[in-house]
Amino acid sequence: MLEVLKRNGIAPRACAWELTLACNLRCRHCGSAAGSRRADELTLDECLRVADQLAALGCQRVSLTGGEPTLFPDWDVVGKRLAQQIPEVSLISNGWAWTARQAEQAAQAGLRGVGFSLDGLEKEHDGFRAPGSFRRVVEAVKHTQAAGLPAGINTSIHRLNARQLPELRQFLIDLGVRYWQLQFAIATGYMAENRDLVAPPEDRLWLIPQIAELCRASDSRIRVYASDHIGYFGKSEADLRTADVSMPFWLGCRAGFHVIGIESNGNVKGCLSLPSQVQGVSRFVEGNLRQSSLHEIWNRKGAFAYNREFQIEQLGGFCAVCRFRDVCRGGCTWTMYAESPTLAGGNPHCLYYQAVKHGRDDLLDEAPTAEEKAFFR
Amino acid sequence: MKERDVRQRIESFLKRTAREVVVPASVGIGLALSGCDRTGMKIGGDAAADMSRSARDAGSAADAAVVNHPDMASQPDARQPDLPFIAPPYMAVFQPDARVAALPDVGADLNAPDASADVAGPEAGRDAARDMQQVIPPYMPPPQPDARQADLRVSVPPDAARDMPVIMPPYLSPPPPPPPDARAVPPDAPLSPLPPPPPPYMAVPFQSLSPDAELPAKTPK
Repeated sequence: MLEVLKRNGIAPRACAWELTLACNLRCRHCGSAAGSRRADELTLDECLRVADQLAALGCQRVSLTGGEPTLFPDWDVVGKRLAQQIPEVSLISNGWAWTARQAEQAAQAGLRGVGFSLDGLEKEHDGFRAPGSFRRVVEAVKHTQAAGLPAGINTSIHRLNARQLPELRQFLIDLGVRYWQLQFAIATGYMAENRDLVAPPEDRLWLIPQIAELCRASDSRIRVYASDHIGYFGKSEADLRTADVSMPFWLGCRAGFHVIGIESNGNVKGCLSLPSQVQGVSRFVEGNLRQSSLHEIWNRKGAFAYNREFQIEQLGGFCAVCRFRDVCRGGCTWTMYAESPTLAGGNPHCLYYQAVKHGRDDLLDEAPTAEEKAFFR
Repeated sequence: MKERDVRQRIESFLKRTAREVVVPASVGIGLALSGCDRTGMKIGGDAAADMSRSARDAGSAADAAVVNHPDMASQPDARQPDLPFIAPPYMAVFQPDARVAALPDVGADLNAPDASADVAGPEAGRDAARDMQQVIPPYMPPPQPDARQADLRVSVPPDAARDMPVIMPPYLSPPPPPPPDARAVPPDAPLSPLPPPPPPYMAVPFQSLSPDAELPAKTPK
């Protein structure tokens, strides 16, 4: 089914760009283990050239992220250069040092909006990030709104905040937040040292239907989006994806097809979430922007082979027998590798996987196949 | 969505887009030389060979675009009507959702009295429930006295009946404090130190489990 993605044109439509790995917080679940700046981060001039290259490749959306992207001294200059050429440019901040001045800079740069990380209500958020950080995010949202920009929230779901989503939704509505993206904290980066805080895979049986309902209840007050690593198939699937498309279901990881990630040192990956190394071996870095242009890296023969030249034999565990294996390709590549670097275990964070494993046919549209059932016997 | 439906939709997409494939001029010339005329090359029931339009357009440099060509992205295709929205983790989304735009309440302040109500009076705000009935899509529960709370009826965890407050685990020491006043800290200033290593029972000493690693001494009985 790679053909579906290829027919849609292979182009980096969505880009997550880590401007710097420096961060003024040390969040427990940070997937990129941010904190210190990389030794060889791109300069402003280099970033501006990369911005032009992204636009030339037809990129439609860029999220500037980090680390904390505002610790890159000229983040607004890069943002402005992007916004002059790309329709949707946004920035994701932890909100710790976000003041009215930064909000004004973002507005003047032409950003479409600013996303802030908020991982639950005050106690849970501060427990994962830093005391006082919840209130600072609330302030940051207000500064952003005052500058005329929409504020969004990204929430990483983990064991401690998983039960708060409905309550958090109401809080965000009252705060005037219009966009809310949900994602699971996965055991990478600092969270690899806190594996017991990852929401257990079995919780997908109620969490994913709940997230689907939150997405379905989107209205003019708040629009809820499920990240691409939330799914897959079963009764919740269409609500998790865009509803008004001809194929409202997961069509496999789009890293290297429609998504690209840029690290602050110029390394290019199919998705910023993907690890630069797997078991000590460089696995997902396709090239560096100091050595090659983005066009060369994106179009190099053999690039992004884990996706563009995917073979069904790459899958392991339950995913290898799943009826949707050729469509889904194991779900989110990042999640799959984080769970099992050899892919031998499949993707247990998948709703379909868990529903078959636990006999929850009520969450599925049809009974599992005999082969699927046999896998868990 | 059942597997059959998923596959039918994919098949339908592939067939539709196959008809839109425009082959490069060189391929078109080759087809023409090998005897394919304007009637196309449809042979039997092989849908994959249905490239009649492609053959007809062959030779036109203006149309020499191939699907799967990177430059296709330069075309305005922000809507992407076939594939779901791209939402990688750690990316912010600020795009209008067509699903939401289709709702009649977009832009409306649901808590405000309806100025267009037939009978507008001191109690007009209380009529909101009646008006809500018209704007709430069918998948939403019926309006309740407090519509804001009533628009959600979400799945709950299996043990939700228990009154189980979220408690920070005792082993979870507070995270390291940020710099005294980070707002005053210039971007190039030294960053706060990394947090202390986690307790041994939390950290997974993965590397030390190699076959060559020394095992810790047993506790004497």
